[in-house]
Amino acid sequence: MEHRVLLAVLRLGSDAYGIPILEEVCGRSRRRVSRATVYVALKRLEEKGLLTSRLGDSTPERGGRAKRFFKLKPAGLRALRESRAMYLDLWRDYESVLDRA
Amino acid sequence: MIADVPYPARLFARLVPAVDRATILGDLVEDASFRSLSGLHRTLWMTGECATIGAGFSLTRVRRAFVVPRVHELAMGLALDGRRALRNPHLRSASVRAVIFCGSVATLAFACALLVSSLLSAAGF
Repeated sequence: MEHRVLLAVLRLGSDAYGIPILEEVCGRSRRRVSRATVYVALKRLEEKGLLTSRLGDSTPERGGRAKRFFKLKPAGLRALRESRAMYLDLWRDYESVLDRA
Repeated sequence: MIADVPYPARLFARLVPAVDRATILGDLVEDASFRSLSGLHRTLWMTGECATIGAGFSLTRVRRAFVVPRVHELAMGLALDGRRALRNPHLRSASVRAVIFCGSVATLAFACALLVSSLLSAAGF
């Protein structure tokens, strides 16, 4: 889940706050993902130092409450790159096995 | 600002860390408006969402508070307690030792770990 949330934040760029992140994760997962799971994952990633957040402006549609926008930190980008390299390596070895199966 | 979040939802929102509460409630208010929810449906939806988000954060806090022993330590503890309980031939003292064995820290920790993992599964983690 943390991996998916990091990818969602990366893809959304400057518009990465709660609702679009949840929609992006649900859309990519092609299944319903609990809102609580996403918020807890965002909190955990921020505590691990992979994400940073800032408060945006408050709006009347939100009852005067601000949005919390998330952004990948260099450590988060590094973690995604390492994860991608690991999966590419893994699939390089097993792709032919999967094709033959 | 307070009236747009129903009272039951505000109760469950107390379980959300204070630093995140306003922004998460703002997301729920915005989403409820986007879904055109109103009246009882809106109240039930917001309360349900606040309850699951609050439960998610609470379980994370509970999980951090427990230090679950490693499996081999757990097994060793249970084996040692069990051996001591069976060593004494007298029935009464063996029964007392069996009760102590069941109430041992290792067994309690294992039961707690099971409870926490069940709660986490129920919350969708």
